[in-house]
Order: sequence, then C-alpha cells, then structure tokens
Amino acid sequence: MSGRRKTAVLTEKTMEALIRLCGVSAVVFVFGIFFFVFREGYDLLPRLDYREFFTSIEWYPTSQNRVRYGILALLAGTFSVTVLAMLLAVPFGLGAAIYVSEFCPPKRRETLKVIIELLAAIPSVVWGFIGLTVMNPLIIYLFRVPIGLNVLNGGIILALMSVPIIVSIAEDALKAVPDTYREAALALGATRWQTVYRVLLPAARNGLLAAVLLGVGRAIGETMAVLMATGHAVHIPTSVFDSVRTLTATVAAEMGEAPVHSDHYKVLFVIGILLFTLTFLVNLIADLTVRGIRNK
Amino acid sequence: MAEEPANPSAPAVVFCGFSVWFGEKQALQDIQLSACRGQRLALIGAAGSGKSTLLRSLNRSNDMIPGYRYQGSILLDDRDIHDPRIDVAALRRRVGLVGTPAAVLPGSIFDNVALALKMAGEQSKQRIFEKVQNGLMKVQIWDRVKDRLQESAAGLTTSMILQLSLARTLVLEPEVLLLDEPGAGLDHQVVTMLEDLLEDLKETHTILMATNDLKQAARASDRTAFFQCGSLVECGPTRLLFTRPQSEMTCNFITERF
Repeated sequence: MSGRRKTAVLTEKTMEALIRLCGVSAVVFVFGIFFFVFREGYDLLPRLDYREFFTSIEWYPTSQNRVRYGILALLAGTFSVTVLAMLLAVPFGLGAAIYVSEFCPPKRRETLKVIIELLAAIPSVVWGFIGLTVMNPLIIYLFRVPIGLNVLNGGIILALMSVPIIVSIAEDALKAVPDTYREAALALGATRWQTVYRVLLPAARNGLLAAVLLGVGRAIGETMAVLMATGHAVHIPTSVFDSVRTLTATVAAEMGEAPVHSDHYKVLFVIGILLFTLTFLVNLIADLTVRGIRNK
Repeated sequence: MAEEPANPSAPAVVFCGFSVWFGEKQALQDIQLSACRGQRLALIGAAGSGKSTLLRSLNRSNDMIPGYRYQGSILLDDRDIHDPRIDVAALRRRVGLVGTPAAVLPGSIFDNVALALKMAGEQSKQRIFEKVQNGLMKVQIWDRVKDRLQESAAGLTTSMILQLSLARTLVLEPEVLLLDEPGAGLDHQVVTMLEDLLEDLKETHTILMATNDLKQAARASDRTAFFQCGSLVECGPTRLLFTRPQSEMTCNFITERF
C-alpha cells in the first residue's frame, strides 16, 4: 500500500518536473539561439565600421581590393518585399478570416479551413519554385518588363505564404468573441457588416493584431522563397519591378561559401543578430500596443 | 387551448398558428396569441416551455440558429414579419429585445449605448449624447455612471449591465419591448425600478416579458400566458389567470410555485 503510494508520488513529481522542463525549454532555446549566433559574430562587432554597415549600399564581402559590408540595400530589399507582402496579405487575410468566421455557411467553412491549412503546409521552396516558374513569366508577360524576379514577385509569394497564418489566427480570434456580443448587436438592429465592423473587430482586436504581426514575422524571416523569387540583386528598389536581395537570402546564399571564422562568415552572423533584434522589436512593439489597448 | 378574450384595442402583435422547430425538435406548437399596446403580457412556464423562443421569434433573433424552421405567421401591425421585403435590421430596432444574461458590447459605457444609435444611422454627436444621457436617466444609472462614461463597460455589475442594455434598447425608441427573464439574479431595487419603468412605458409600447418569477408576473403584468412544452395552455387577464385558472395544468403550475 505504502509502496504504491510512493510510486504515485514519484510519478506525480516526475511528471511535474518534465512539464516544467518543457515550459522552461522554450526560454532556454531562445537564449541558446541568441547565444550561438552572438558567439559567432561578436568578434567582428567592435571592428565593424557601423557607418558603412548601415548607410552604404556596397556589399562586396569577397572583394580583392577592399571588402565592403554595406547592408543598406539588403535592408531596403527586406523592407520593400515585407511591406508589399503585408499590403497584400493583411486585407486579404483579415477579409478571408471574417468571411470564414461570420458569413460562410458551416459546410463550406470546414472545406475552406482545410484548404487554408493545406496552403500553410506548402514548403517554402515550393513557393520559391512557383515564383520562379509561374510568377516570373507571368509578370514579364503582363507588365512587359525584362525580368519577373523582383519585389512584386517576392511580395506576392510572401503574401501567399502569410495569408494562411493570418487567416487561421484571425479566425480563431473572431470565433473567441462570445456569441452574446453577436446576438446583442443583431438584436439592436445591426446589419451583419455592422456587427462585424462595430462589435466583433473591436472585441477581437488583440487577436487580430497578433495575427497580423505573426504574418509580418513570417514575411521578414522567410528565406528560401524570397531567395528564389526576388532576383537576388543588391540594389535599392525604385519600383516594384526592380530586383532586390533580402537580409535572409544573403545569409542563406553566402553562408556555404564563406570560410568559417573569416570576417565574411562573421558579418553574416552580425546580420543574424540584426534580424533577431528586428523580430524582437516587432514583437515588443506588438506587445506594448496590445497592453496599451487593454489599459485604455 | 383557451379562447382569447376579445379586446377593444387592436392587437399590435399577433401570432397566427405559429410553430417552431430546431432541427427535429419542435419548440413551439401552433401558437395563437396576441399582445396589445397599453398592456404588459407576461409569459410563464417551466424552463424549456418555449417562452424565450417565442420572444426571440418576434424580432427574428432565431434566424441565425442553424436548423431553425417555422410555420404560420407573426403579424406586427398587420404586417407579416417574415415578409421577404421587410428590412430585418429595421424590424429589430422596432422590436427591442433585452436578453439574459444581458451582454456588454466592447468599448466604454457611453459607446455601449451610443453604438446602437450610430448603427441606426444617427450622426449628430450632440443628439447622440443627449439620447444616451436620456436613456441612462430612464433606467436610473445616469448618476452612477456619468463620471465614468469613458470607462470600459466590462467592469459593471450584473444589475448595471441589465440597465445598460435596457437603455441601449430604449434609445432606439422601439414600439415593442421584449424582456427575457428580467430580474433573474438582480438587486431588489433594480427589479422595482424595472417594473415601474414598464408600467410607465406600457401606454406607448407593447411589452412582452418572459419570466420564471411568478410573483413578478403577478405584480408586473396585465395579461399572462402560460406555456407548457411549447404549447400555449391558457392566456387571460393576470388577476383572473392567477385566481381562477381555467386549465388544470395552469392550476398545478401556479399553486405549486406561487
């Protein structure tokens, strides 16, 4: 009897410890990633010419005469593709979420949700392939431009990749709004659109904001698809038909060729630190905004 | 089913052989009932007897429920509310429903009431403010909330939420007022306020109130209808129904619980 109780207590303790470990591991992994990225790049940090790093568009990491690490064009590339992707994905994603959650007949809803989740499961290299073989000739044909691998192509591909994330999280947020809100609004003589616009969107705004920001996170962090779809040219774009190169694509494309522990290798890790900081800032701003809304 | 006593004033709301199903389950069975302006009609009956369904049918709040089906008709001022040409949103503004539990909408106390007006198309900020103030005064919470109109409504007590949602309905100036179990779990004072208010409003409004509280029905209604298992058993002047019920079922129900 006491032996069995001992086992029960032991099981309880073990399970508790395991579950705690799982919870703590998330924090450990984040710090771990930051630590290793930082360790590879920190050597270069004091020696780096920051003015050149942030303001020069000259990215010549393997030049024979003078290596130059200017990432302004890469930042502009990431920024332009992300902004275009969000301009396309946010209205489409939120619109689709509102349709699926509020206007769609239940049977069609299930079908649509399965399809949207399927869209989220497509590997990014497949998206890149679509950018390369479908979007590229299409853009050349439609807009009569010499090359279809550009900001527009990358933006559309990234938008297509972010939409499923935005839709499924935004839909969850809308579904989480209690039905009493809908009934109260409708009983007051609200039309369906008024119910959505005046009651559901304000009630779900935290979740919707989270959906949008996760979409932004996906767009900033995506590598493979933009590497294939944006043309990979170090260049500050002046129109959506210019080819660009993003920070992530640069790291992915050059990491394999940079000699380990060379300055080139290290500067790629510095870019990693920068990306890490960027996503951290996006999350921080999101968090503060959400808190601000809550306290209001 | 008891015969309706002839009423001198024309009925504003008439249910003609009205039945409701949710999927396979029948919730209301061939209801013949009318309600007039100047009278408060109380609906009594056990839980699940169809009182709420009847109220919700009247402003077509059941339309959203999957599997909802109806037969027969409901006339509001001689017009069928299921007429496809009728504007459902406008109908719901004419037929105000205050449900339980009363819901708060997102946003401030002021927004909760103002939203109803904005959705009805009112644009003048001055008029919105006046109407909101007026509505909150009617339900007697103006003095308690006037200094915190911009605070979130989520922190109010159950009683105040009911008052707020009543104000929200009243600012739209409905002709018919539907109350689903008002008074459940509320302060005594608020219930008294509510019943006094209904007394005042009955001259100009048609009032239907579903209640589980038989004392409330006896106190605050002119006519009472007793429902059982989705059927209307008996309907008559409140005093008569409570003192000399015609049906044995009504008698059992009110003597056991009254």
